[in-house]
Amino acid sequence: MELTHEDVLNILELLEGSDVEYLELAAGGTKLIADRNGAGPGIRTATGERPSAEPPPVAAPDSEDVATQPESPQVGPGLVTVTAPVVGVFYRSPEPGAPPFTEVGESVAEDSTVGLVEVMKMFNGVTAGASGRVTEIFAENGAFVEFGEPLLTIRPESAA
Amino acid sequence: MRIGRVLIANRGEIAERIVRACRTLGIESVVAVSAADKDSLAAQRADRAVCIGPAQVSESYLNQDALLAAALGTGADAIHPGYGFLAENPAFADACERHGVTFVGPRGETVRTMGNKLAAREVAERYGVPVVPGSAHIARYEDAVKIAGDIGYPVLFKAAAGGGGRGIRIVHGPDELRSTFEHASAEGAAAFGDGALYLERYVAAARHIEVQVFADRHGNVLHLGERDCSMQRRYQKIVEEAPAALIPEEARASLSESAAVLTKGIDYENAGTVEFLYDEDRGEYYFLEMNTRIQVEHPVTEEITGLDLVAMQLQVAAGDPLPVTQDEVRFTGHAIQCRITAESPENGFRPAPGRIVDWRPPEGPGCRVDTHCHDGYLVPPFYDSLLAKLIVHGRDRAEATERMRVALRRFKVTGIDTNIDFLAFLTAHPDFADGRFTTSWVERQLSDR
Repeated sequence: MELTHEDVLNILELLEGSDVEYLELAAGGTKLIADRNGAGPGIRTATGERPSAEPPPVAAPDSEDVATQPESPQVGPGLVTVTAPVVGVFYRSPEPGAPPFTEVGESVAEDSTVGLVEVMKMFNGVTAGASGRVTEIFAENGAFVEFGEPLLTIRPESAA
Repeated sequence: MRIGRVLIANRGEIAERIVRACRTLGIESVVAVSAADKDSLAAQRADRAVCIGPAQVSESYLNQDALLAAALGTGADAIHPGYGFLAENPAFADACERHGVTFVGPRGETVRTMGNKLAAREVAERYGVPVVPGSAHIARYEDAVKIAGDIGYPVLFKAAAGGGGRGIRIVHGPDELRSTFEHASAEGAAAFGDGALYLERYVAAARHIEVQVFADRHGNVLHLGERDCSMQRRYQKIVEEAPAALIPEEARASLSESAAVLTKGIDYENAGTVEFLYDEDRGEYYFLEMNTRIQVEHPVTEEITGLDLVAMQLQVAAGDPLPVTQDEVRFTGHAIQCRITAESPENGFRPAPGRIVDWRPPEGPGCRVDTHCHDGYLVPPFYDSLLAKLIVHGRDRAEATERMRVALRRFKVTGIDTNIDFLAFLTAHPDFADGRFTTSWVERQLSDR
């Protein structure tokens, strides 16, 4: 049995509403590890293939100037910066053609998935880490991102 | 095939060293850094630095997927693994090849064969390279009894999957054989996932002599002379020198020839080191192992040959023929290297990470320092304690020794503990000047102190 991307999202949704702290699930060539206590992303999924057709084109690295370092974006006071949990390719949507996980101005929950970072065919979910409204998204779809690189900012909503 | 951009999958002084070699050849360098090394000297001097993960090595410098993703994401066409970390990991070499990234080193299969001590021993024997009298794989205790009797005590049990001094146990007499056999087997299984053992004669008065070899994919093989690395503490090299001027000339020539024959025989590619044990009492040498990477002590060979070994690694990896022939290799003078570490000799060589206040390496004729340290550098607690390699070159061993003594006196580091005074003690010792030391000499000095 292979897990589809939809299965994974469903499982994650179920987990979000449960007390389960750690789950490791292997089915066919797919392995899913969800760990609430992990220092990195809340959810880590590993699949043999990105579900669905062609991945979005990644900027051809050869044409890229090697000296281009990611600029540290200016982050306003009171904003939470969500950073890349691993080095790899950043995706804003669960699959090509699908609507993005989030857009500027939308609100997210603390454990919402706001993006994916792919490391050698392994897709790592990026969780918001704070509930609030997305104020800016720095990383483009298909961009190469470093570990710890700022991806987006969230203005937290008051806990009250 | 051209290499235009190299990802450096390492840290510390060797990352900085590889950046320099890239610059020499006009190759762009991208250094992979952990979060703890983001401001490293290599990161500053490379064309680009890419953060591949947090400080822990399992998530960064040993994370094959992160390194490959970094190489592909930055358009690097080659990965230089340096030494340690993934440098002798055949799976990583294979993964690089699968993804169309050139691994700067030998093929994965070569790394795999030579990484297994038993397999390597068999290969050496096949090419007529002498090995320490001993056994192949020992299956049963009864076999060990017979073989140990044949070889003569003391003998060593070694783990087939061990290396770098780990997984070795000495047996002084028959009464110790059974308990040591059981311990060593269990230890091998626990530490290396492989309980396979073999037996070797224990050489009491041993020198560690190694030969730098180099081969390209056009069938050219070079040996670049020997190094004497007998100054060791717990199987870790401390002081290294080239050439191995303290063993007889015929032995040196024969040893280099053996190394070249083995290198040619296994169709080796890139830089490698064939390590030997030289038995002072018998005047014989035995194959120990082959390291399929650049060595920490490569600079002493560079100093006496005038060659840039790291640049040559990149050239050979790109498919170019070796830039020199054996006849063109010239050996000049004598070179000595000391490994400067953040360790506290007064406290049992405890690692001493922390912030360096003043970093004042020596300068002068024939003096070279390979380092990633500087004033205010924070030595992170996550990695090995090597701070710098101090290398001196002189017309002969006496001049090199004198230069090393002066250089160590002038090497000032404040803020953290280092082993500089200990190195000064070792190199000022009359036994060092006279060449009267074997691999157990340092330990003996320490127990006498």
